[in-house]
Amino acid sequence: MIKPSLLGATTLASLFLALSPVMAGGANRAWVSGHGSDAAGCGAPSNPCRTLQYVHDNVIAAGGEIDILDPAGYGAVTINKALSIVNDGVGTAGVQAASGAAITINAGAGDVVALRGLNIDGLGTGTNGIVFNSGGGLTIVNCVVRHFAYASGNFATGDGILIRPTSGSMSLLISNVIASDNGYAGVAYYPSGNPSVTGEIDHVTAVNNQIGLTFDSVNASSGSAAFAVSDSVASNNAGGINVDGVAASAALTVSVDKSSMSGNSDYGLAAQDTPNVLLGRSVLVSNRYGVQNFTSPSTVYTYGDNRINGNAIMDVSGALNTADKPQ
Amino acid sequence: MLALGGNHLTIRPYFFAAFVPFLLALSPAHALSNRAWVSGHGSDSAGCGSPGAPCRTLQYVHDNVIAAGGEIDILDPAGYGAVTISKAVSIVNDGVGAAGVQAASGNAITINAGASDVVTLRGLDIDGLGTGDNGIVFNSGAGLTVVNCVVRHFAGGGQTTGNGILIQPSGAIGFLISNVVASDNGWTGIYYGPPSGSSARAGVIDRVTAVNNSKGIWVAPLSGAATVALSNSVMNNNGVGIEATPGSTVSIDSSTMSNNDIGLDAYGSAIVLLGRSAITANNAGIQNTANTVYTYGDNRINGNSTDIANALNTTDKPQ
Repeated sequence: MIKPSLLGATTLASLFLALSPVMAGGANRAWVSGHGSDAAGCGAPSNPCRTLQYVHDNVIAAGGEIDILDPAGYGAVTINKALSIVNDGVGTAGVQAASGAAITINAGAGDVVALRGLNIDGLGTGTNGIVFNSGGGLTIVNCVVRHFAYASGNFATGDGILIRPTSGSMSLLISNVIASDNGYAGVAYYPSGNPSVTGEIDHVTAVNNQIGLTFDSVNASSGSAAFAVSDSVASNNAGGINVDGVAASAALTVSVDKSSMSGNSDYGLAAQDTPNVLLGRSVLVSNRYGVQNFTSPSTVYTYGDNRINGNAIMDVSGALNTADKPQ
Repeated sequence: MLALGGNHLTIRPYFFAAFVPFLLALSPAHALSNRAWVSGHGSDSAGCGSPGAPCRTLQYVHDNVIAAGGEIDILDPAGYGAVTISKAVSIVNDGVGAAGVQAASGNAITINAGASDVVTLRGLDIDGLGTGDNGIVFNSGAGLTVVNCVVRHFAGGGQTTGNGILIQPSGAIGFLISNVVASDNGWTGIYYGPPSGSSARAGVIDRVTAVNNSKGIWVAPLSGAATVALSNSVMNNNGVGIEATPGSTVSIDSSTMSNNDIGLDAYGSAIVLLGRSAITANNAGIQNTANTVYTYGDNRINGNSTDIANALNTTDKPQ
């Protein structure tokens, strides 16, 4: 403790100026807790902060890591720099959004963002769970994104995860995620402009959305996107997996391997315009249509080892391309 | 007792008139919450629900604290009591330790939600102590997600008792049961039995282990149709590993049925699509009557006293 009376006003001002780099955005690790409070100097395990946004704005350095100390709700956050938000199993680390987006990422071109162990809920009224507008990379692991609401006619609402870059190169990983009960998509890739994107979607369970996974690059003018989906479930939606891209403007390739699309009230897998879809070792059963293939000539390639039966109207609408073989 | 904004406030009647304006002013602050916490150290009283002042039981929070669409979160390991759910709600334990729901009688968790309500249960340890009726009973709602749960040791030998999970809605729903252990139940691990006249949609059962039940998985619509896609699951040491009755369509992929009396029982005209699965060390591997068990030709069905009762249908091919 320093008694103010011992210091002149000028001295105090100098002291705070000297401290300010440490106070604002200097730490490589900072902790948040349900028992913490947002105040200057917070961030240590013994003096945690309370909200993600306060730490992002005032405590953490670019490239640093915000860690969850105990179960609590931590509030919506907008991220504009390289950052990790990490909950490695202390209990529920909640991010609710009754309106707007829960987590918005507007990071710089080379910035990588990691989100791990978050339970993100839109309460049936929030707009989107995770919105990625810009950045060099995004990793989403061990998260739940659920119950966001669709505003009629706007595909950029009602998405658990919405990836909508407009430029630059980036890589994405979405792993061990449950995306459910969203008014539009569990996971949506919905770019415009000319981004160049690679993405892996692994062990993702997308159920009870309008569309489980949608890859829709028709609004992109150029650039490219290549996604690999593996060991995932896209079931009990209206549509399981939707792929729509125009190769002449923005190349789009989606591989679907060892995944299951069942009980979708419209289709298991749909493809239109001219994307490449590579389908192997997957099960498409008990949908209205197993595969709805509108590409012509057909660019939905099968490796010949999918199980597409028991769909109500038709198993395969629009012949699959068998030119690609396992080798 | 006066119910106000969902919270019970004890009010002495003769103070009531004087307090009316005050209570009305307070009521927004006492509005139902979108998130509320329960703890073994909490107590059920008006205003509980924050991490610093958690409630004690799921039922109190459901009835008095949480808004429709909200989330009840587990703060620390404890038993949280049986609960009946009548609205969209999530009950979430993301790894703080055992979040127990025991029921020595009746059902542990009963869901009577509205037609558009979705319910999520995650990370619960649900135990019937050898005497309770059922673990999770889903009677109505739009959707059910059960993830990372254990449902075990419920008693009974009839259709509506002795089930780890009993799904019997009359409306259209989709359910997901993922990463669940269903064991030691007197009737089934999981029973999907939509009643007659129901407009049932489909279920997903993924990464489920059903052990030591009378039936591991039972898909048995009373009339009409029921479809289930089952994958990456194990049905071991049950009377019957998986049983499908007429009206059901069950896809079984990358799963194992072992050490049961019957590994897979396709009763009557039930349709089963079977691929990449192992059926071994059962008394009867596959018990089928009609020619509606379709194999993709890549299952391993050996080492049973009788591997296959009647020929499998080979008209469906991988494509």
